[in-house]
Amino acid sequence: MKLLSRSEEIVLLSIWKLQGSAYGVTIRKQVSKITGKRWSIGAIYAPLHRVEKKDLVKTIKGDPIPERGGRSKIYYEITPKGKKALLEIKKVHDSMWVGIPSLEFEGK
Amino acid sequence: MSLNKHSLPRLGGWLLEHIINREVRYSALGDFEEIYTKISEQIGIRPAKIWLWKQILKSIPSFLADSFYWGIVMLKNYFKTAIRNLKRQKIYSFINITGLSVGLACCILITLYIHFELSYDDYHQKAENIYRTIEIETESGKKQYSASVPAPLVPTLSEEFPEITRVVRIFHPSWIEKWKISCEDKTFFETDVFFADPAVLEVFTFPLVQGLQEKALTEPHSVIITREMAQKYFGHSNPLGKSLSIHGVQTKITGVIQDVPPNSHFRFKFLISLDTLESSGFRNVVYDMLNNWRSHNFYGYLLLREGVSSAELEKKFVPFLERHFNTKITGFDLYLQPLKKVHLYSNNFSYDISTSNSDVAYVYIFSAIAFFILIIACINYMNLTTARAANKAKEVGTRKIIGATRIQLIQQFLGESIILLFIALLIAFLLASLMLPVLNTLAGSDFSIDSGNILTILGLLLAASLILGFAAGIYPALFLSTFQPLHSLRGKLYPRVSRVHFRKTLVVIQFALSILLIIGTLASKNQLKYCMSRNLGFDKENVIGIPVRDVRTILEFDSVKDNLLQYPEVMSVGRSSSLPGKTLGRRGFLPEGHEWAPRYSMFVDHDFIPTMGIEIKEGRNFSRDFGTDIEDAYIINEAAAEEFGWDSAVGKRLIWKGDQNMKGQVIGVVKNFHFKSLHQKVEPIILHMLPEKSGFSYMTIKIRTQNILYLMEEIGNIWERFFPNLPFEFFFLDEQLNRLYATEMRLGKVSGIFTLLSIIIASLGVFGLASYITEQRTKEIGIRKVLGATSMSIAILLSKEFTKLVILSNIIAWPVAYYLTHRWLQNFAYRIDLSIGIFLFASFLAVIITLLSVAYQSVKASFINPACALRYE
Repeated sequence: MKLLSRSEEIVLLSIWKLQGSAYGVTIRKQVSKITGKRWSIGAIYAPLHRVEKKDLVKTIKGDPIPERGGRSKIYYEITPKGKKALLEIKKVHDSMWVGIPSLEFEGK
Repeated sequence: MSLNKHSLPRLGGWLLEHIINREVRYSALGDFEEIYTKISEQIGIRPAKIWLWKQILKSIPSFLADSFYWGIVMLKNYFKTAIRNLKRQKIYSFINITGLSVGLACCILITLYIHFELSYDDYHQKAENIYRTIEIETESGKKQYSASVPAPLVPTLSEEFPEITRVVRIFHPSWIEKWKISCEDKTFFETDVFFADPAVLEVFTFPLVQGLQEKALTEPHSVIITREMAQKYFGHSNPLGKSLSIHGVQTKITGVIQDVPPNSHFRFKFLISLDTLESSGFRNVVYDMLNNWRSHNFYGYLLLREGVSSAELEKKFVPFLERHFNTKITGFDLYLQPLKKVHLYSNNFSYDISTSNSDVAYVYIFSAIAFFILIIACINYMNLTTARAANKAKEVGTRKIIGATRIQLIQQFLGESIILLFIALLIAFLLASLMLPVLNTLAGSDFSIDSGNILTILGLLLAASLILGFAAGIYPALFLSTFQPLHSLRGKLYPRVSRVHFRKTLVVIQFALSILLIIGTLASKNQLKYCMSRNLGFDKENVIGIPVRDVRTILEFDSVKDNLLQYPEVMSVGRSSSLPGKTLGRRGFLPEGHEWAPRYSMFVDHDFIPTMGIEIKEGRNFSRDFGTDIEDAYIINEAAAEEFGWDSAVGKRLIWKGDQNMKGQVIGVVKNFHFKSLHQKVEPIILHMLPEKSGFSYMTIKIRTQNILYLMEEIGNIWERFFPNLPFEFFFLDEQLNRLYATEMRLGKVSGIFTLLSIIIASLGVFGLASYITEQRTKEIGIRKVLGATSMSIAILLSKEFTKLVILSNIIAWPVAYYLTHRWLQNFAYRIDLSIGIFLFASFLAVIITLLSVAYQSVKASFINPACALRYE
């Protein structure tokens, strides 16, 4: 299995953090909070589409609500496969950072 | 999708609907709407709109990237299914790929040929401004073109017209077939020896490898040789400054050039400075041609100033020509032919510098053949793919149920056909490179796939595959994608009648094209056979020609002749200034009751007419009994007698301009004989006697023997005894004459190959279609058998349908074929009548081929065990 891409990882982590209340709008908020940048809706859906196709998340349809033009919220939930992928990428991160000298700017 | 009052502005919503991938559209649109609604409720509608548009603009790249990403994934899937389909249906794939790759291979080869033909002389940097001088003589309303001009014409033109910046004269005496060339230790006989003005290196692009361009040809007795010749004569040592003896004249090598490219209308190996012709050694080659306005033997090339129009310049020539050629009487005119047109547009020029000029018509013919073959191959593909519809139907149904749109299916099928085409293209490339040497041998050509043309060819072919993949794939794609999932999954697919008709139409077109090619090939074969077997008015068999090019031969002729006549096998020996099929000069004659005009004439001796077996119709041959024959006697042919309007020609007065005492009269009339190829009508010709001890060009020997090898060896020995230093060269007249049709022969062979290939492709198509139809009709056949049909009747039933189609295509092909072959035959003044036989034969052939292609399937079907057939499915 190929490693997750950075944006996929961020989206997955956000979904995990949101625990059951993860749908487009909340995911975007969470992602923007983590990264400190504003993400466009399009930028969220590209990785979301990919992790969904890879079965790393599954979707659950909520009730239709008027604010969404009569559409349902589509909730995203991490699958076991998704969790495995997250753990895998975490391991990679951890081992990547082992023994790396501090990168902090000294003056700050 | 029902949208309530809070829905997005229409344009924004529409845009998003279209750019967001279908699979996330629902969810993403919901997000847009939710945030939009929130902003518009909390802050206002305007900020919400602003937010929306900003958001859309920011999102577009990501959404597009997303769609593209999944598009590629889908493409991979299509590729996979395409390969699986190919593997699953081996016979269909085989037929399809074979047909397409053979078709494409043909196209590659033809592209090569056409590319080569069109590339003639385009390597000269100044090609755009180089023109060749062509003489036009108008005779009884007919224009005669000749490439040879008098030597003084060219420099005079350049003196009088400032539009001309540089001129080159090239001299290549066709009456010398072999040149004896020797260096210190080697002697060879060469053919490609040319003379040229020094400006040749400036006007044309012949880069020197060694030597100085400015000085290379300025001195008399200097010669430039090609690299190939440098290697041949001097090996690895430096040839520069070495001397070569050419035709007994000492010359010094002042330059070495790269070999002249094959796409050059004249190709020399030795280029001697034109001034060398003044030297005594070449006197018997050039006579007094250098300063003679009446001797048309040089080729003139003009380099025009940038921007000068050749047509304008030609108009300015009029007074000039009048001054020098008395154009009012002779109807003489000068045409400036662009250099790049020389190869393809000089077919009817006489006295041309090149014997290998082609005709633009052949470029068209081959383009048409390539196009036909491609169409046939495409039709095959369309037919086979639609024929497989039943098998495809399930796939289509499944895809549709899973959610494929029609557009996606069309994309998929188009993609499949393009993939197939690329596979075919690869194979075609291999095939073409394998066939290339074969073709070259057959056609006597020299094409190759090299760095010069590979890009053009690849580009063309890639474009062609894409277009073809699209053209051939679009119909099946449109057709297949219309299936209703319900019907197609139940496996009940009844093709509509119109579809069957369409498919049949395709088969008809395919066969019509093949039949067209067959008829064309047969007609050209017949015409060629006719050319070679027609009674030419003289015996061409058992006549040996020996080209004569040395003064010694002239002096010793009588003794050589006596020696030859010692052999019982040698019947007679004649002399002449020319031979049928060779270049023939024209001289001014004044027939009684007519004007001076240049007419074909040939110098012969007493024995020429009997040696050639030319029949005398009236009067007598030249005779030794009449001493005055040498000066006063003329023999004309029937055509001349007719033109002069002489019922009884003998005794009529006929005066040659060179005739000092003006006593000439006609002593005989010979039956018309073809002194030119059958492309041209027999024209009037006047035979007169070679003056004593004068030069002649050919010795002809009429022989009667079974053992030609032995006799030729004997003749060779005699030659060796008399002229130990001259090479013994000879030709058989009939072989020499056949060369007049070399272009047609080449065309015939090559188009024969392509016809064969087109038939193969078409029959592959019929084979595929037949197997499909029999498969479709398995049940019907089973029932028929149960009801008592014999195997035979079933085989006939299945074959009948195809035979009908082929007959229909005959009806279409015949008129077209008749029109085209009829036009081609107009090239010949003497031609076959297009017999119905050719047409019938082509039809017969087509029917047989069809039956053979269908036979396997129908026989297989007819032996089917009804029980199995009915259980089918």
